[in-house]
Amino acid sequence: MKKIYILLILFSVGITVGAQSYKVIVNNTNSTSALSKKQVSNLFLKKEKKWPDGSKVAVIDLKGNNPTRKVFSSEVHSKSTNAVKSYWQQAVFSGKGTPPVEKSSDQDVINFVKQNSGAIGYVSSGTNTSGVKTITVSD
Amino acid sequence: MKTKKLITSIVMLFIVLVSTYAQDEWEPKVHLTGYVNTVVEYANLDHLDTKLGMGLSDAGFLASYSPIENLELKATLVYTHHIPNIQSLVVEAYGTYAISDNFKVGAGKFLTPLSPVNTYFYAPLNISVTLPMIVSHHFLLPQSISGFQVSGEFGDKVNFKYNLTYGNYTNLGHALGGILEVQGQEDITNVLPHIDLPELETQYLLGGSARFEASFQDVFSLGLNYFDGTQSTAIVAEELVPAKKYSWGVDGHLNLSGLKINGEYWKGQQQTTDLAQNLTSKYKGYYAEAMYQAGIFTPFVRYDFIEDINGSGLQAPTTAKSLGVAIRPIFETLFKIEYRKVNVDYAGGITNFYDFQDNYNHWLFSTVISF
Repeated sequence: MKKIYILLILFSVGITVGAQSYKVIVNNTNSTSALSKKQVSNLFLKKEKKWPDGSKVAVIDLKGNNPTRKVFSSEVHSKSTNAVKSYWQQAVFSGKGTPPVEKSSDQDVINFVKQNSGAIGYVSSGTNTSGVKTITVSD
Repeated sequence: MKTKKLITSIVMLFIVLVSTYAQDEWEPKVHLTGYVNTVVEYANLDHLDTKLGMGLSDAGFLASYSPIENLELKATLVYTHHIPNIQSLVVEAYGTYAISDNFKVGAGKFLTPLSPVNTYFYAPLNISVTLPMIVSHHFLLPQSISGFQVSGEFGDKVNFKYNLTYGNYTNLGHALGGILEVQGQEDITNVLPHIDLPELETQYLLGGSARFEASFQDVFSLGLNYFDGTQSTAIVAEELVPAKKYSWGVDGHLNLSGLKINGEYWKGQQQTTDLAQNLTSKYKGYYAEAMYQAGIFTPFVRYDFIEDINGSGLQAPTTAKSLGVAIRPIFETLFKIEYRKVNVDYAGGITNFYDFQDNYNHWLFSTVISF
């Protein structure tokens, strides 16, 4: 019985760790302060390519095996990372678009967003995001 | 003097545009992707030496590179075990420059930018093991066009796209596919062995395509397509004769919470330009398919019809009914299982003079490994 309790505790700890959250960040000069999940999804899938002021969106993503990307794909796109990769494979082969540049670390994403006025990216919630603007993502 | 002024103005405008974009830091983008498609198939055609086949059906490799924000270079190589010539290995190799989203210019060799080819040509994009016959037969529209292209799009939620391409194309005839080499030449298989003329496949003819598409919030899209073979060749009494041809098609796509319905209708005509050998041939093809994605499983059904001109100059209306499921447990691996029933109707009194089977059953299994 004890073993079962220990396993259950380990399992719930695992779930808590797995449910790592994210922060969506934009360049400090960007006037946008809140977006819906649907809007964020459209921006990352390049279905919407411009900010309200007409400037171009530059999307930056994390590598496919990054745990934050898994959470982001599931919560924002309502898809697995595999399904998002399939979406981009379709787009690349059919000439409809290319996937965003992928970075290995949160810091690389932050650096890119700092340097590009139209950039949007996401990092894990615990990351220090000074120098960029964190926006609110609503359902 | 006027030309000098114009050139100076264009150069100045270019510098202003480049410096505007250069405010942000552009990172060159490289994207590599590819796949290997291995097929196992069984067709109960009596005249086949072997009814069961397995092995590599096709393998593709795509590389794209954007050295600056508005320029993209892309090349795709696809190997199949029946390549009529080395040029056919290079399916696409082009560069496009986006002056804006509304206007892009390109040069090189393009996969014919009409709906069906782009949707199905590459194995990871197609949930079926086989291509719709209007794609594999290549008679309504060629596989690739080599020349120049302009394209663009307008709007967000309601989006309009256009694409105009003009250049040389080659007739690939009925493309052999799969392992038993019955895919893509269904009607010929039942009449004769593959007899598309090699001279026909290597000719470089002039032609162009136009596509207009309207889509509504990614839920529904409607496309209009036109291909004009300014130059074409017809086979009259086993001789190649100059001709002209045109084809047009409409396509509709519905995408609603995992449910996808695609339909396409094409019609065309080829007319010889040599009055001494006057010949007009009409051809058409269509398909409709429905699929539903539930997690890793995507079951599908497809109905396919083609009535075109085969290598022997015959027109045998052919239908194929497909039922299958695609399974993608991980991104890198896609399995497809399919049953297909092919029926040939020898219209106009043309008989199956080799006494081959008219109709056959086709079972297929495919493993697509991609990265």
